Amino acid sequence: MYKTLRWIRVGVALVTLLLFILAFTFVGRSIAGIYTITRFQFIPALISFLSGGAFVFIFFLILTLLFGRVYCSFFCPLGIMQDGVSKVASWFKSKKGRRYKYAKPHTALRVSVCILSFGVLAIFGARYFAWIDPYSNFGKIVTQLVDPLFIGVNNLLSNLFPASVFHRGPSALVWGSFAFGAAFCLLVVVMSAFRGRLYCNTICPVGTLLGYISKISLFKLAIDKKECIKCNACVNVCKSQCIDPSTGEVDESRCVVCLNCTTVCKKHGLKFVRRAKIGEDAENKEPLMKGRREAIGAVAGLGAVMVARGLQSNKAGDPEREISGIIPPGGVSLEHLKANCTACQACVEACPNRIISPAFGEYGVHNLMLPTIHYKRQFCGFNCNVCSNVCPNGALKPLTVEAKRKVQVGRVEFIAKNCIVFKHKTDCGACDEHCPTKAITMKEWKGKPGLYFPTVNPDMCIGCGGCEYVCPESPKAMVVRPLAVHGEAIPPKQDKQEKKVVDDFGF
Amino acid sequence: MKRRDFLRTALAGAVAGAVKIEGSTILAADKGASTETPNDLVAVMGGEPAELYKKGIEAMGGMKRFVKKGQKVVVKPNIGWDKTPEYAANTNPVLVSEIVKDCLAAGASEVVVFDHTCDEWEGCYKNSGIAEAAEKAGAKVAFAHDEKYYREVELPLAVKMKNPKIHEAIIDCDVWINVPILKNHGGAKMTISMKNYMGIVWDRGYLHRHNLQQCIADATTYEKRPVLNIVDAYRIMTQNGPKGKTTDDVQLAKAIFMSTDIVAVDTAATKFFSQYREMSLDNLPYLSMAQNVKVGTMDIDSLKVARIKL
Repeated sequence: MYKTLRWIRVGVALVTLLLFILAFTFVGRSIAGIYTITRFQFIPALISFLSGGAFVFIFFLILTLLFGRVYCSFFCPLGIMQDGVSKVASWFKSKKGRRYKYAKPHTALRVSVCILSFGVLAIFGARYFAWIDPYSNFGKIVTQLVDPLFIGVNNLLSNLFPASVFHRGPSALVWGSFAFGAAFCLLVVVMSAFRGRLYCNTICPVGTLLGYISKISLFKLAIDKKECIKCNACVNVCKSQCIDPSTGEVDESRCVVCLNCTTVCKKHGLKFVRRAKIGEDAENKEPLMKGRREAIGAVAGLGAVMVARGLQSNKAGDPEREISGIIPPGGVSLEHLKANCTACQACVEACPNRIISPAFGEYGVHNLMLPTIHYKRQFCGFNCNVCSNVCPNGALKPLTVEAKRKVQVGRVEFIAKNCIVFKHKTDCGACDEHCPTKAITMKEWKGKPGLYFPTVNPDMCIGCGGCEYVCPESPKAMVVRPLAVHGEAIPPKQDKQEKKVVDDFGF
Repeated sequence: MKRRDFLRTALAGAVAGAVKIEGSTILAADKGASTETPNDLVAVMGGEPAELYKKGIEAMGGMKRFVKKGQKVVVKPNIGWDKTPEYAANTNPVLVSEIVKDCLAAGASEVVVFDHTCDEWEGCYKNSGIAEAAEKAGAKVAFAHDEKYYREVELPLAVKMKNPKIHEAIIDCDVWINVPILKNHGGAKMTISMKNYMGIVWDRGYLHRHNLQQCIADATTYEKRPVLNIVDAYRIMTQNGPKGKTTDDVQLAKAIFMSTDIVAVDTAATKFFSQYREMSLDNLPYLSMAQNVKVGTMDIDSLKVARIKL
């Protein structure tokens, strides 16, 4: 049975990893609904608890309370990635070098990091937690490091098969985000290459939290001491290094339920047992009681985090706050984004127009890698609402296309001295051409019949950036000024015209 | 490399010369034979897109007049905007489909359809209905969203835009057919056949920066002229063009215009448009600019014109 279970674990993990890699590269854009998987993650479910994440969150909580840290081996893409790295690294190790040894827990470190991280999440919102959330950092690694590789391969293919594979422009690389992604990736790769799940058991706050909750799980993996012949086979395959051969105990706070130990034990001595049963058999019940206290503390702490977040959720933003990048539609305000965005980069990757990139300074030095829009390579599609619908955290609230067409993410400013019509007295109208709401209209220049110049109505502007992107002049005559708190644009004018019937050719 | 370029240019020049001589003899012969002369300009009104096209091409002398067996053909519609057909922002997909089928029936070895779009290209290709219609009709839909698909050409007759990069499909084809839709335009005043050339150019901003009207005229001086211009005026956009806001901007005109003369067909279409909304030809300097370098004529009466009502 455990062999089957272990294969199920490997299968689920591989599917999870594959889907997450696809979602965070350009491939994801052509797979309908793939971003739904991002909702099936612990931190997004926690953050969006009140806006749709409750079901998933409770599912993970119950799963942990039943069997321990199943999440870490089955559903965490960062954890699965580390298993992959460990596996590959083992191919380069001697038979002896492949063996894991028991290691003592770094309790003080992991508990401090965990309390600090969740404390920061509760008090300062998601924006700093973004640096340590396993799901979001996996997203950063893939968008910053893997997507460019995929694009390179795509473009090689587009040279070989020009009629069927199209050329893609470079991905939204921002050096700061790239450096962060690369550094984090290096840390995790090195740790997992040498020490299995060390990262998950010393740094990852989600790992620690779930680990402590696991201390009261209904079932736990334990060694049947009557069967055990102390061969150490289980210890040697335990990538969490949590099986202590001297006591025969499995540290469930570090066990990620990979089930490798259960299949190597020739005596079938490692299995799930009811915790209550262990309690009955044990001569000394004290460690069990201690575990219960810690677990209750962990659950209570988690509850406190959620209450604190709930209390903060109504904070209004400061409309006067100066920002130099546009908050994607559905982002409501910088305040809302800060509180809820863990910078997973799902919206960055999902945007078909490739205009969203991780902020590095646009929102100040405290809000790094949150999504921001620039109109350098494209503008925001009038028919598109993709970004707001892929956010698993509700940091970008889901919008219908109709609703998105009214959201004002920025306001246009017309800088007449840069405008071609005024500079050269020749026709242009590129801005007017692209404006979907006709916040820009062309007016005839008095005294210059036939020459039309643009005028703007910023109240009608939704900030889509069509005008800014297409303005052929440099510096631009049309610039969209970002709003730190999104507004609502007044509806476009209704230009009813009589339907005419013409019966002549006119020439 | 330089020598190869020289040889290639020389060869292309020789071929172009040969084709031109051949073309001119045919034209001369046509002018002599008064009864069998095909029309220079055809206008049809009062039908559905496929019907309009069939009557029109018949009056033009049939597709075989323009497309010869084995030729590589490009059909260049306007696919500028991420809009569905009822908004009249893009060429009617039914018309594109009919033209593609007709080219293949005339013996074309392949038909390629593309446009350098304004909105994000995948949305335009899809929602215009043109990619699907063209593919179903047997055409290849070419990518045009990246500079990689464009090559520099020389326009000796141009005043401003002398060395634009234009789409490889146009450079590599034997003949191409220009299939715009009739719309008003906030910048260029009208967008018809000549303005549709912007979709074969990579750097659209260049035209805006260097006198839009002149650059549109310059573009049409590219040596490989469309063998036929077919103006879709089934639905026309009379206000808020070229993108439009709602279907309020659209008039159901149920017409089509065809001509070998790009200036003439745009002149005719503008006059037709004026019946819906006043539009003086003086507002379109690109017409006279092109006429001055003999790309075509604004004098419709000097041509053999057929006006057909269904």
